[in-house]
Amino acid sequence: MKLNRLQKQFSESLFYQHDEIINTIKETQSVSPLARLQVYRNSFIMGVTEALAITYQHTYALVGDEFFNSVARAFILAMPPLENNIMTYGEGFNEYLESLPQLTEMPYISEMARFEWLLEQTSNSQIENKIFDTSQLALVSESDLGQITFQIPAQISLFKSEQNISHLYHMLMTNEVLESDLNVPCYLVLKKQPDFRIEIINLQQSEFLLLKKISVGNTLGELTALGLEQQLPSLLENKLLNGFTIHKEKS
Amino acid sequence: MDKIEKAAIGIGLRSQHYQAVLDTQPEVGFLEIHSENYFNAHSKNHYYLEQIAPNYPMSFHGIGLSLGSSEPISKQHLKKLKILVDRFQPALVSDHLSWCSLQGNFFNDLLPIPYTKEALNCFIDNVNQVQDYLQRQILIENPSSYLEYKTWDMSEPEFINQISQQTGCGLLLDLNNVYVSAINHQFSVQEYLNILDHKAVQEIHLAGHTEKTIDNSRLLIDTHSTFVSQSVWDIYQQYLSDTQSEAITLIEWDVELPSLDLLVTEAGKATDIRAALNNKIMMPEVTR
Repeated sequence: MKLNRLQKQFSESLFYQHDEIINTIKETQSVSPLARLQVYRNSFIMGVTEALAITYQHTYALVGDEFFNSVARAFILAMPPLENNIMTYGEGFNEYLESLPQLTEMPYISEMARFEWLLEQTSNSQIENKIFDTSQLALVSESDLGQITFQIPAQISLFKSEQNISHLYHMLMTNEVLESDLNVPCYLVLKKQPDFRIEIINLQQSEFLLLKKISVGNTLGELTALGLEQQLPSLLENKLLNGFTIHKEKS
Repeated sequence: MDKIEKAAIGIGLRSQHYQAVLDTQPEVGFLEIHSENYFNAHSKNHYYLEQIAPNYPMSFHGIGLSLGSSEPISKQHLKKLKILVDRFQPALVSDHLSWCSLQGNFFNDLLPIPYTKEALNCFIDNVNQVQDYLQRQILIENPSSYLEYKTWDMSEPEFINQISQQTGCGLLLDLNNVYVSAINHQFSVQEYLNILDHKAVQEIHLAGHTEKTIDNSRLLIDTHSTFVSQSVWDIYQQYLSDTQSEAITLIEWDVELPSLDLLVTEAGKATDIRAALNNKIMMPEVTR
């Protein structure tokens, strides 16, 4: 059998699509070909599940060992790793959890998974040390003022949820589970620190919306109506902006 | 690039030990990392590698090149590896005699290749491509395996020798893997080692394995989760005695990690074996 065909059969067998590969496996008097193949199947699923459990450790804690392993297995078979590096795997796990009927009544679980994925991405982000020189704003001509777009440092991520994930995360981190209403929206900034800790800043809804608009490139002219003037000092104090450019429309 | 001294004994660098390595600077001959864990230059792993690498000779060991795959090497993966290797200039770069990806899917495992002429040519092409791109020699490690294919043209050590001869790559001899495969497929470790070209061996891996009972039969699994077994220590001692190899030795431990002290103590056993053999060579028996 050609190498490519053999490897195709092998990979399909790892996805439990069929067992045709066992016809190519040497038979012995001890362990059967199917049992030998199963060692590789188990290793694939268990190895990738372990990687998911590290990224989604709090989601794991919420659903427990058995449920996590079962869901992880189904997720891996449906959405296997695509990059030859397990460190980058796990995107879309929250959406998979969200689609499960068993979790419909517990939306905070998939939201925790979405939060943890963002935590991971933020901790792997570049830290930009540039400091916002506000004196430069005074040098902008009046005609250009409305075209200013602010910049958000790369180490900052925005997270909004209808569930109070920040409270849930705090409870999990401190191991203090208190009876609480999780059906409260939260508006968060995740900010990577030089020591790799992630600072979590709770924002008001209006602050969050403003930052969101800034992050997608809205100009100062478009932001004025959202109360930029009042909120700018707080954004600067928290170092959530690190510069600006003047956005020129292409003629 | 810091060269690794001949016959040096090293340990795997794992994230749980970063701070302890920085604080205690253990006396080991080199450190080995899993290359893929350090591809992101902004990650915590990379940050610690930058602190630790200047203090030790390094070996970079990968599992993601998929050299045995019938498809071309991932250019994206190779590019990331080159950036890492260029940045840290490790003494050695290695990967496995296996495949781990096909048609865009990655299996995060060392899957067995059939030892056929077609697979050999494919593997040689891939090793040549990697060495050309990295502009340096790589080492290839023999895998543990749990199955053998019905069709084969040569034995595993013959296959490995061919790769080494035709590409100029070096060999990373994992003695635990030889032992695990020998038990799983009922072949002789000694016969395997007799075939292998020892001049090409630059590094030896030693690790722990786990025993399972499947279909009422014994199957060993290469888990890297425990101490090196006495059987593997015996093979190591015999191998060094037979070949006088000056290859470096790594103690691999990836799962259920012990403390750094215990890992260094385990590495010390390899040092003791080497020292005892050296003394034996230097002090020949007195003839009457």
